[in-house]
Amino acid sequence: MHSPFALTVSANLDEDLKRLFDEAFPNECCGALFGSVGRDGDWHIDKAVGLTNCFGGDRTKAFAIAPQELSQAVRRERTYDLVGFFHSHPRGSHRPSIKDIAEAGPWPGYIQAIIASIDGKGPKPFFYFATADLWQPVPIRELILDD
Amino acid sequence: MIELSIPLPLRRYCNGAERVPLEPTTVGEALTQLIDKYPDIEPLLMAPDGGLRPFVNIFVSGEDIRLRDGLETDLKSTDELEILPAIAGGSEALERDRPASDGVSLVTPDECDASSDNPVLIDVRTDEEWRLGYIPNAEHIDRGFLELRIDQVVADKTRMIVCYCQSGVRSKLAAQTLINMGYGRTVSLDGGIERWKAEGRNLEVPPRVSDEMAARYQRHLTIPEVGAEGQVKLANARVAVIGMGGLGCPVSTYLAAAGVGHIGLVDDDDIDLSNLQRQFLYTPDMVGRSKAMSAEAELARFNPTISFQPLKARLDDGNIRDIFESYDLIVDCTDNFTARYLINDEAVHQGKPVVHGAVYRFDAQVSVFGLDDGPCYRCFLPEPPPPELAPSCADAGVLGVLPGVAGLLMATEAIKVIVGFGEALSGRMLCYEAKSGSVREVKFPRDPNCSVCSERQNAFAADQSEV
Repeated sequence: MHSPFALTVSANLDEDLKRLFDEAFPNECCGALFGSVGRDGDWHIDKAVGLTNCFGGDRTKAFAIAPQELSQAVRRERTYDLVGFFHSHPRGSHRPSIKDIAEAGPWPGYIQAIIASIDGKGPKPFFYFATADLWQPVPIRELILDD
Repeated sequence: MIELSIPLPLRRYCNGAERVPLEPTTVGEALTQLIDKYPDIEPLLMAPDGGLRPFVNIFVSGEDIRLRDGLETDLKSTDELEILPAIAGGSEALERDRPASDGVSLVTPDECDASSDNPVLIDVRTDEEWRLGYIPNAEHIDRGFLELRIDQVVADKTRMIVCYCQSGVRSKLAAQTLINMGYGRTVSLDGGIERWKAEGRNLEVPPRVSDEMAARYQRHLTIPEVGAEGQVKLANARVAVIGMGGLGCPVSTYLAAAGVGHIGLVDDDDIDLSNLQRQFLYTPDMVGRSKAMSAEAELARFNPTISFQPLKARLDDGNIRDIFESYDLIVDCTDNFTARYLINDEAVHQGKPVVHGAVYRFDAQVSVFGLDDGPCYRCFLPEPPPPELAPSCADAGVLGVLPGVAGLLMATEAIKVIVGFGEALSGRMLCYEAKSGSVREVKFPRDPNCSVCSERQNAFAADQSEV
């Protein structure tokens, strides 16, 4: 799976992710990103679906996506592909934590979004392409808002 | 026909297919057919032991197969089959503004060897990498399980830990994780196992299990505390079950099921109709036949891959030494004090642990004697009680299911001792009382003046101090 050289997102994705950040605050929100990968290799995210953070401990610092809910969401959104996941860092950093990288699942090649509020400027999503040992930021210039 | 949905990151292993048509009757068959068609996908889904990799979830028509029969879950032609990853993470241990592993010190293989701190080597690579060879005496914890399992491997947070991986990249991240968790003396092996090998150092290769073993004991192999190494230990273990009555039946059955490779079945009794209330290996048509021989025939049918040594004999001073010499672990399933003391004394003499169990009406008790520096049966009970206070099962009676309860706990303790996980019931007697449904634990120390084990224990202590 090559890294996305162009990522576009639907116009309301930003707002949806910010809303999910706020609704879960101070806990971490989490969920799945649905969209498509075109024949030319361009990635597009159509929608974010919030899923229950079922982490057994302090949910202000960690998350786990409820597997059954993920399966239900995939079945419900079957017109799209599951292209990645998102979660929030309510305490500020937009960078992936070691825990994020270590537990991002068994296969490299998903988009991962972290929603964080930097310097109190309000929540904002940051997109990464997850590989085995690190998450490569998808540069902003490649992030085109799709009307 | 069933269509298996392929997750986006795995499609490149399947010629880009989003769905693959298959004709399976179970989930396991579906995966086998998928792998036959696209062999490159196997390591992404399956662990070397034949189970699913951690973080791989499979759903049949929206239901997690772990809630059904796992890989043996039946499939109907109308079912939808999905593979999805388990996803977790979080902001805990944030990298902040510096690379994750900048604070991690590196050690060379020479420094690791020369360290006077007796560091614990932790191999954080995947199962597949581990199986190709590891640094001698290293512990394996896949990086995905590091936070979950580290406290089982290293209880002392002040202990020095050396993490390593293939080339030294992942182990720096892993070491940082451990430092963040409070293991402040964690370092990373510079250059990983590649450098270790390049400098001409030895590697060890973990024991391999056959395909048949992998299939039969798959549920064991997926438990990190057992795994292939534990299963090989079970296969090589030699266990004598003394007494093939109410306790011996469940003990021998579960040890056979678990794959204990050599099981001695010792009893000189013949089957009596009154045994059938609890001794489930025997049926009415076997009444009058030897328990040891009949049990062997039943158990061999149950697990034909292991060996049994039935012996129709009553233990006595003349035969016990020879019998015990063939075994590493004794399971005392006898029903009288004479036999228990005879077993204890010879086992102490030969330095072999004894898993003990006893039942009386509604009471069951289980313990492990003579394990390492733990107490023996005589430390617990120096002399037999007077006969009037210790009636046999035949005189006092026993609830038929009680030997089953005790026997399964005994088999569990035997497996723990053989594989070496958890805390054996050494110096502790687990007491179950069926009428109230309560369990309590009685602790007892080793008796430094024990007439049987004190001499041997002193020798053991001397051996330990020389290590």
